[in-house]
Order: sequence, then structure tokens, then C-alpha cells
Amino acid sequence: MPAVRLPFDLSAACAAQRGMTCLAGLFQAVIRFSLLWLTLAGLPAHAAQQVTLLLSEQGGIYQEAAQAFELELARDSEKRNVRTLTVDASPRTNGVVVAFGVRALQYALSTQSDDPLLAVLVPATTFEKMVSQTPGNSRRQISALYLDQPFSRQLRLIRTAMPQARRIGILVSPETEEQSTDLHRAGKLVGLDVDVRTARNQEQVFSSLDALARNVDALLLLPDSTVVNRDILRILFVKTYRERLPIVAYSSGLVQAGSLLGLHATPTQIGAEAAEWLRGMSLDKGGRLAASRYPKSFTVDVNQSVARSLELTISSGPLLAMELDRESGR
Amino acid sequence: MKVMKERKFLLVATMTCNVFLAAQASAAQPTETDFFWEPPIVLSASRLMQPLSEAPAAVTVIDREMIEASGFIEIADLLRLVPGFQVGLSTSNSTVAATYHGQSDSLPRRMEVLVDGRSVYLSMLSVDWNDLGVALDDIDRIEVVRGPSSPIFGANAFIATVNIITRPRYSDPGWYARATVDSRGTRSGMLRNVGSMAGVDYRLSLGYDQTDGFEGRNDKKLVRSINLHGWRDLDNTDVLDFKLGFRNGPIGRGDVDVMYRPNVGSDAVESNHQQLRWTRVLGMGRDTSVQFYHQYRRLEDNATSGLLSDILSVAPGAIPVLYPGHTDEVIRTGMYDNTDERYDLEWQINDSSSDRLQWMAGAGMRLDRFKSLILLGQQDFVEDRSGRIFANAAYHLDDRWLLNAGGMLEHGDTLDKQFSWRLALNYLLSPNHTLRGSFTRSIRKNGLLGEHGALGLYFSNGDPIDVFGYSPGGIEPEVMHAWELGWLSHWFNHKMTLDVKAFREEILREITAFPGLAPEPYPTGALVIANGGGVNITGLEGQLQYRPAPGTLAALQFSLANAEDRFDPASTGQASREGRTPHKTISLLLAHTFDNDIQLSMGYYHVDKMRWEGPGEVALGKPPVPAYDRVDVRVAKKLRWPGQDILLELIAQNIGNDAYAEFRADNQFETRYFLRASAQFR
Repeated sequence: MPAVRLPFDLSAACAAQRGMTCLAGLFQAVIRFSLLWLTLAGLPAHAAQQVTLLLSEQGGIYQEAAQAFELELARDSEKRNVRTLTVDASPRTNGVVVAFGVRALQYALSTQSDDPLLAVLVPATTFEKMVSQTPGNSRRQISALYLDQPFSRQLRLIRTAMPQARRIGILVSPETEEQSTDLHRAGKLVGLDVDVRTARNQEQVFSSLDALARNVDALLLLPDSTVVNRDILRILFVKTYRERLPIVAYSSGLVQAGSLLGLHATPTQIGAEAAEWLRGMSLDKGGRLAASRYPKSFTVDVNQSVARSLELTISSGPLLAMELDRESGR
Repeated sequence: MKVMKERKFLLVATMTCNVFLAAQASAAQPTETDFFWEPPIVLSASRLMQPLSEAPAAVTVIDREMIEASGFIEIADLLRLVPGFQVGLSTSNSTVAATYHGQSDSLPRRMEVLVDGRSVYLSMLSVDWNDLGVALDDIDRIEVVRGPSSPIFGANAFIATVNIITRPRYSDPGWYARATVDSRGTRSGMLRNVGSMAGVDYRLSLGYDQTDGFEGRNDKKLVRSINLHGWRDLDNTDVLDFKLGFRNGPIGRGDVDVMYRPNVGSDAVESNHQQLRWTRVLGMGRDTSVQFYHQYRRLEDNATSGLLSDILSVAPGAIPVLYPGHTDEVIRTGMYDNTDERYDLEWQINDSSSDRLQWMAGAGMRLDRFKSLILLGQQDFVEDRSGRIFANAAYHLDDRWLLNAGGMLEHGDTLDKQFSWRLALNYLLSPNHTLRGSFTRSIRKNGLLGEHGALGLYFSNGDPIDVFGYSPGGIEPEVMHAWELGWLSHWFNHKMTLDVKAFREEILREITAFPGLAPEPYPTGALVIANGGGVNITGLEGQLQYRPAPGTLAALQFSLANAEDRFDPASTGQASREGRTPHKTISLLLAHTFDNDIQLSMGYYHVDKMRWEGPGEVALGKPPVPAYDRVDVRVAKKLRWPGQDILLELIAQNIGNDAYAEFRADNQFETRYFLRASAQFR
């Protein structure tokens, strides 16, 4: 055990004051010692906040986001104990829990702890459903930095990249149908007509698509396993390309596959933004988790091969991102 | 301790239950996997079409809407909708001849025809439009490169290239049936199934086509066919695409103007093809493919000219004297008795991943084999082995200027190292207007006929009796120098497109046949294949398309051309080429679909007076075919029911006009009525 070096010398103080000042000096020393003790006793509560990064899996996007989170979190002078764990180890969590991915969120919700829980890499609708359907977390502070981009930003991207596009088609299934109202609201906000068609099952996707293709200038994809899956994707891209209907997607992979445009946040962006957000909440100083929100950061991908083939002149991804930033006053 | 265990059990049970509930909640909901999975690259480089504004040549696309609106029954007829194209029905040799800027006989040899990348141009006898291995119903679109395209498609693509592209994977799922009858004996039907089995997406078509052709001509045909197109994904990046086809049935050919076959007959035709293509996506905008195909075609023609003694008007006993070692025998004169076979292997890489530079390159090898005693004077196959390497690049010099450069180097048994190339410069005047200037050097090789042709009379063991037309060999390839200035413009938000080009094509060293002497020891004169003077063609042509709304279409195609001999007919004794290109070729297609699913379309076709020559490489100076005007009308009604669409069509060809002459004066095309019914079951 290392020796603790006190910042004053009691005997020296008495010798220096001799006589009448020794009592006062002793009193001062006691006060200063008491203050130091209080300070030392209080240190763990402020300087070593516990943060558990709970990953759905080791490696991949979870590791990428967690590393960005840690780097960003370390940018201020506050001391935190950050632990990175994966769900597979069935770990005990304590302190603020940051769950990376749906599986990690499931696990964190199931622990029924009162520790604050921040979800990242989880889509908005999935997060809301999981929280509302998991009992026993009513007293817990739970929030999320959603993975998906807000509809209004997606539509603003279309308006910016393709000014000639007026009507935007969106295919939904029963699982995403409830977002129709939000989509129409976002369309009004941005000044685009939104045509939402529901496909009850995979077989209906193409009849709905045929009906849409005749009436819209672009198709916006939503993450919906009925509409976007490996079986359907090949047909979807081939059909829309033949109809010369550009697709705007929500992931980089879908842009590579044949979409014209994509708007998404990378795991690094999500991780860094979540850490910055968490830092701003000052949970260690009695702050509370802020309400869930969409990410501010985003990346725009453009498939210029598709653009060229469709004879569309589209700015580069970074330029479009700057334009979107400028529009939103950032 | 027991209490502790129970509490632990309860905790685990509660956690498991909660995880299960949460998992249930998210089962139908998207997860991060939906955002970060890597789907297969569907729109790979070779699947994406080069935009017309960046193309180095004029291109006409006949899409499904135009195919249906035209009401045409024959595939070759669709080329009437391409500026500068002429189609002649019921030729003596192949029943259909299609050419660009005229300058053709019944066996047009200057145009490449591809079906999904497989060349159906035969090494000897041009293109048999009845034997493409594809049904009209299975064609998705026809892309026609109007102008020389040897730098991309090789030595057969001398003056133009017709790319027939079949319906893509996943199109028209379910059963389809179609029946067609007409007022002149056409009985045609088709049955198709599109589906998926054991991981293979397939398209299987059975066809039956029977037509009587023109009155008094031996041009009837019967084609039975079966075609299969399959696709299989090997993994996320690799796709295997295969095609199998088989056709048989007799075809009527021959007539009095076929110099060597005065008697008419019916040829049995049997053909098959196999095609395999492996494509690997290398990344966004990059892919590579390897394609192999084989096609085989056997024509049986048992026509004879009787006993040799009768042909020579001598006593049978004189034959052993005249031809020692031989006795009198029946002499076969069926020039359509032949076998044609092709093997082709090609590798290609496409890269359009860069904004500034898009390029493709490849290499291929081919073996053409042909066997015909009557045409070649040999019992065995003659072969043409050839190889090719090619590359094309489009480089964006800046936002407005685009440089296209490409070339192909070919070498083979009938072609000694030839390089065809093209340079084109496109200038973007504005987002909707592009100017294009290009120069192309294109070549046409003489092929197996030009190298080995020896049309004559032969004993059954192959010994010669006489030769009437032959090639001394060593024929130089034809060369074309073509200049083009084009303007492509889009109007009304791309609803109207105008594509105009002025052109000059100089055909040098034309391969043709001159009257001459047969080689020793044959006693008669013969037609000798050799290089001639050639012809210059200059003109203006274009197309205007207006598609204001789905179901409404107006397409005008026009060509004004003038041909000029590069030789003096009087001093050379050759027939002038000037009448072989019609001055005006015009077509107009109008179509509209009404709200009640009734479709009405009208086609107008005009070709000025032109001269089609006779068979083979022979310029006989035939009389010209008069100019004609033809109007076709189609009325169709689509009936939609759950799970099935039925289309009923009434088509009238050459309505309201007198009969006109197709290809030759006695091919009188009178008004024809067709009734076509098709049903698509999903």
C-alpha cells in the first residue's frame, strides 16, 4: 500500500506559530484535513463513472461503433471506467449501459436493472416496440440514438439530388404501414408528394411496385423485410431499372447493389455521436438521459454508374451531404 | 440455500421470458443487420446500359411497347422501325433479307446479328431470321447500332449491329400461351413457362410456326422450336446463365432466279445451340464474364437435276469416256445441303466504377466450320479459326467533352491481322443536347465462302464436273471508312427524343463476283469472287420519339441516302451500285392505350425504289423493286382478371393499299389479316 503524502505538516505549523497561534493553526489544519477527506471520499462518485459498452457480438460493426464511442468519450477530462462486454458472456452490467445492437438491447432490458440504458445501432421502430413490450423497466432511464435517418432528411436528399422529382413512391408492408402518417407528414414538410403503397406479402410487392412505378419519379426504400430481402432484391432492382425508376436506399450495401442514392450513418459516426451525446448529459453530475432521437451525422452514397446509365446528373455524396447540412443550418 | 436457488431460478426464468418477449417484439422489426448486410450487386456494369448521350454511335432501341404496338409477326419486320433499314420478305435464299442502307442481295452479309451475345450470322449464308433461337414473345428489346461497329462486335458488324435481347430474369412469371392465325395460312402458337426449380430460375418456350408465304412462291415454312433460358446464382457475386435451343422443320426455297437451282424443293432444317455465361461481380460498377456457345445447323436439300447424261445431252455411255472412272448418275444440285457449326469462347471485363473513365476489354476465339459439296466442292468441313482482342473506353475530358475510343484486333484463317477502330467525341451542349462526331474504320472478312467457294456440279464421290462460281482465295477484307455527325436531344422532360445524324460511308474493296473463266480444266465461264471498287453512301437520318404518357407513343424514323459508285460501271463491266440504296426510307408508328384497355396502333412504312441483287456475292443488275407505301393497323383489347391477362389482337397489314412488291416484283404483298390471342397466367 503506497504512503499517502499529506499536503501540510502539523508539527511545522505549531513550531512556526509558537504560543497563541498554535491553537488557531491546529484548527485550520483540522478544517483543511476534513475538507480533503470529504474531497477524497467524494472522488469515486464523480471521477470514475461506470460505463458498460454491451455489444451484440464481438467485432464487426459493434466493435467499430464501440471503438469510436470510447475514443469520443475519452476526449474530455472526466474519468470513467469503461468496460466492453458482449452478450454471449451473460455479463453483469453496472453504471450506464450502452447497448450496441438489438441483441444487446434485448439483454440489457432483460436484466431489469435501474442503471441508465442507452441504445445505439437500433432502428427507431424496433427500439420503441422493444421498450414498450418489455415489462419491468418503467422506472429505468432508457433512451436511444436511432440507427435510421429521419424521413424528412431522406426526402430532402431526394429533393436536393433530383430537383425534377415530384412524387416519391414508398412500398410498405403491414410491419411498416404504421409509418405512413409520418411519411406523409415528412413529405408535406419537404414539399414532395408521397405515394405509399402497402404490400400484404411478398407476392404483392411486385403488383404494388407496378402500380407505383407508373406514378412516381423515385422509389424510397425502408428497412422492411417483406419488401427488401435477398429473394426480392434482384427482381426489384431489375424491374425498377427497366422502368428507369431511381431507388433511394438506407444503406451503403443497397447503393452498391443498384440503388441510385443512399442515406445512412456509419457505425463510427453512430458510436462517436452517441458518446458525444452521453458526455453532454452529465449523468455523473446528476443529469438524466435525454429523450431518444435520430442521429445528426449521416453519409450520402451515390452510385454514379446507375446515375450515368439513367442519364441523371447527380452530385457526389460529400457534396450532397454538405448541401443537406447547409439546408439544415449546420 | 434453497431460497437462494429458487430466487436464482426465478431471475433466470424472468430474464429468459423478457429476452423472449423482446425477441418476439423485434422479430418482424428491422434490426441493424438490415442496414449493414451486403446484398448482391444486381445492377452490375454489364447490366447497366450506356446512356445514349454517351454512346459513340447512333443507337435505336425497339422496346417491348414498340414490338407490341407494331403488330409484326416476323422478328425481322421490326427492323422497319429502325432508320435506314430495309427488309425484304421471301427472298430466294433465306426467306427474309434485312439490310442497312441497302447494298444487299438476298444474303445480306454486312450486318452482325446477336441474340443475347450469341452471333447468329452464319459464316456462309448470312442470317436465317427463322432460326434465331428466340420467339418474338421472348424478346425484351432490340438495340440496333446504326453504323459500322466492327471495333466492338468484330468483322461481321461491318455496317450495323442488331442486338436482340431476350426478356430478363424474373420477367413474366407463370404460364403464357399464344395463338396466331391469318388470312393466308399462318398457324402459329407458343407455350411458355417461367418459374424456379431447384435454385434455377428458368424460362422455357415451345413454339410452332407455319406460314405459306407468297402466292405462287415456294417460301412456306414450318418451324418447331424449344428454347430454355436458365439462371443460377452461385453465390453473392457469381451468376451462371445458360441457354439451350433446338429447332427443326422444313423450309421452302429456290426459284427460277436462283441460277443453279431451277427446281424448287423443301429443305429440312435442324439446328441447336448451347450457351453458357458465367458472370462475376468484382465490385460496384465492375464485373467480368466468360461466355461459351456452340451452334449447329444442318440443312438437307435433296434437289437433283437428273442424270448427268441428260444435263449434258449425251448418251449415258459417253459419261465414262468424258469422265474416266465414272458412270452416269443422278447429279445433286441442292445448294442448301450443308452443315454449319460454330464454337465461340469470349472473356470480357467491364469497369464503369470511375466517374471519369469507363472501359471494357476482352478476348475471344472462334471456330467456324462449314461443309457443302455443292458450294465448296469438298466432302469435308472447311474451317476458319480466329482470335480477337478488343477494348473500348469512354473518357470524360471534362463535364462537357467525352472521348470514346475503341478497337478490335482480329486474326484468323480467313483474315490476316486486321485492326478496326473508332474515335468519337461527344459534346454536351446542355443537359438535354449532345453533339457527336466520329470516325470508324470497319472491316468485313471474306469468310469461308470468299476463301473456299466453288459452286459447281460434282459426282457423288466429290469429283468435279464443272464449276460455275469460285473463289481463287486471297481475297482482301472489305474496308469501310465512316464519318458521322450526330445530334441527340431530349425535350419535355425526356418525353420527346430527337436523334439525327449526317453520315458518309465509304465501302472500299467491296467483295463481289465478276464474270470470268472457271479455272482449268473446266470449260465454261464462271463467276469469280474478287475485290471490286465499292460505293460511297452519304445521307441524313434520324428518329423522333414522343411518349407523353405510359401507353401513348409516336415514333418517326427517316433516312435520306444517296449511293455513289467508286468505279466506272461502263469501263469495268460491273453493275452500278447506285440503285441499291433507296433514297428515302420512312416509318411511323403511332399507338395509344385507352382507359378501357383498348389499344390502337398504326404503322406506316415507305421505301423508295431500290434494287436487291440475286444470290451470293453476285451483282446481276436485277431490275429495281418499285417504291411502296404500306399501312398496318392493330386493334387490341386486354382483359384483366385476377391471376390472368388475356390479350386479343386484330392486325391488318398493308391495309387500304394495293399489293406492293417485296424484294422482287412477283412477291406481291396483299392485305393480310391476323388474329392473335395470348394469355398470361400468374
